[in-house]
Amino acid sequence: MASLVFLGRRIGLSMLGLIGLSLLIFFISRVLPGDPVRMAVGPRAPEWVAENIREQMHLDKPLLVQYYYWVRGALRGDLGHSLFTRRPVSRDLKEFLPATGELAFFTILIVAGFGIPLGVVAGRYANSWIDNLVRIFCYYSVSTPSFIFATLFLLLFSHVLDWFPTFGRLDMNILRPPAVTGMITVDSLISGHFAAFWNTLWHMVLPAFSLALPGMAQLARITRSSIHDNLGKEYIAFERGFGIPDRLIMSKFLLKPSLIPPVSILGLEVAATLSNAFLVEFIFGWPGFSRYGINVMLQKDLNAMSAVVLVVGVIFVVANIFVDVAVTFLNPKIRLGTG
Amino acid sequence: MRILESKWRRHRLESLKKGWYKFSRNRLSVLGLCVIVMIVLAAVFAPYLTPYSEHVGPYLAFDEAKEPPSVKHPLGTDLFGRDILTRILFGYRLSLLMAAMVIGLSAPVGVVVGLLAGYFHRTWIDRILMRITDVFLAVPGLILALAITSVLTPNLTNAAMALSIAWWTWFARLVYGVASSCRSEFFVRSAEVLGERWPHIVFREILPNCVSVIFTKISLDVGWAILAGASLGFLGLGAQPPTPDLGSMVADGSKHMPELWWMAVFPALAIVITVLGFNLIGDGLRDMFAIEEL
Repeated sequence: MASLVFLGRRIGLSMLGLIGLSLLIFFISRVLPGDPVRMAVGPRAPEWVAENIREQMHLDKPLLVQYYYWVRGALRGDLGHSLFTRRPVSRDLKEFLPATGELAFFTILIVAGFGIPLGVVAGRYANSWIDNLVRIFCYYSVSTPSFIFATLFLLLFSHVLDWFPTFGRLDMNILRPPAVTGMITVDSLISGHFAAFWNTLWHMVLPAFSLALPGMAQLARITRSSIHDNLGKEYIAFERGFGIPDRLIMSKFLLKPSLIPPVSILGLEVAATLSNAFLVEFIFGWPGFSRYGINVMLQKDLNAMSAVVLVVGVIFVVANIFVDVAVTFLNPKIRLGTG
Repeated sequence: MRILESKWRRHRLESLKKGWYKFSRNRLSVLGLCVIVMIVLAAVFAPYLTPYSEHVGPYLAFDEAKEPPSVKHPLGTDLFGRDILTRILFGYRLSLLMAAMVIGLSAPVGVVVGLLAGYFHRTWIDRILMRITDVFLAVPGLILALAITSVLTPNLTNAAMALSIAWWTWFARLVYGVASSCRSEFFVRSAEVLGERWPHIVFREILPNCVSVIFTKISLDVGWAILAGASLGFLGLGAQPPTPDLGSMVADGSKHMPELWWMAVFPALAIVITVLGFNLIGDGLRDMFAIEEL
């Protein structure tokens, strides 16, 4: 019950946050640039064309009414037209989101799958050579932004060593599996196109690792200090005194409480992945949502831009709710309402 | 009175010495401090360190273009024959300026908001201020900054402003935590009993207790701000050419990747070294002040 209250509160707060975000992005796209119609039609279009569009987009009405129309449209899935692709924004999003979805999923898998074990090992053998090695790796990786990893990987592994492809999602000579979800890895498994599955995975390795490394290092550091702190607690000494084998203590009593801090920052890792994807997808020519986002921003395509920011906000909020559920599961203080 | 003052001064000197001792125990942090001091000095004295100061502006020398690293140009030259090392040194000026602007804009706002919300814990002031900060939890700051810079004219000031719009919330949340735990301490209670008004309590009683947290956060954030600024520069949303910006230098270099590798690799390493240096200092400060929140 206590956990339900906790979750309900968190969801309510994030909804409030989303409303605030929509106001903010509305302000950015409608108020900051001056006349959005002029930006849409260009400086040389005749006045009557601008007038028509102004009326069509309800831009002749007061700001609050405009906001109402915009939110109403967004809730119905109508996000306006993109000036960059000249199609409805919602259709663009449907096309580009799955590519980013599989990349981000793969990235988070690497972040958690490597980061947490690295941190556990470093914390268990604190101040040994393994710990120092992990620490140096972490310092370096945390300080290197994803776009620099991407640039260096591209140079080393694609151009010099020629191990990985430099561009895109799938080789030209491989047939794309029939679209069900839009994610090639999933579609190819559904339809049994294993060549396409491996090929997409192959294309994903460099972008996913350049996205994952900084987050992985962050997670390893947090897991390490959390394991290290908990190892010094009395209950561990107590269990050792009872003669419980170390291996059992590690897996049964130490791991779960130590996972609370790393799991709670996984939401932040999702955010970091999404924002770094804006640069990394651009570098690797990954035809995803973030590359679309950066293109529309550079083209000053306001409808598409506000939609992109809003969608990122929704993804981020949903990811955080998942994280909250996981934390509730791990943390008895929240579950029992004593925290 | 004078005796008290000199005693207090000696005490302060001693605590500084103790702090430096604790900080210097962490050899990595000292290394980071050395690196950063060198970078800052190099950035400040850039015109005296390199004979190619004119390469920062619109300079063309096609006979020296695309040269690999040599004695004359230790890090090579770019497409227009400009010395990369010179441009990195001047790029540091811009990066540091950018970081200073972001921190200078966001830290004071965040600190004041955090202090007020923390002191007026569970009143309407707290609720309103913290709900506003929560809005920025709904979207990654870099994406918001991208959206804002894209509608404005791209330049250094706008990039710094766009980053600050979400950045202050981190300071606010941090200070809020410290301030709201301070408000039930005895020194705050006794100041209240003595009839001090809230500005005195907030800024003279609570703020000094947040200083160590704030400074540690700043030293960590300078690195992140440089990194975020480089990301905007990489996309062409920072300072415009021909001004040297580390991020846009990496972007230019990556277009000519395998052949002119030095154009991208050296600016990239320049960014990494700086961020690494600030992170090491920040870690040292965190250990020195024993701060758990960061």
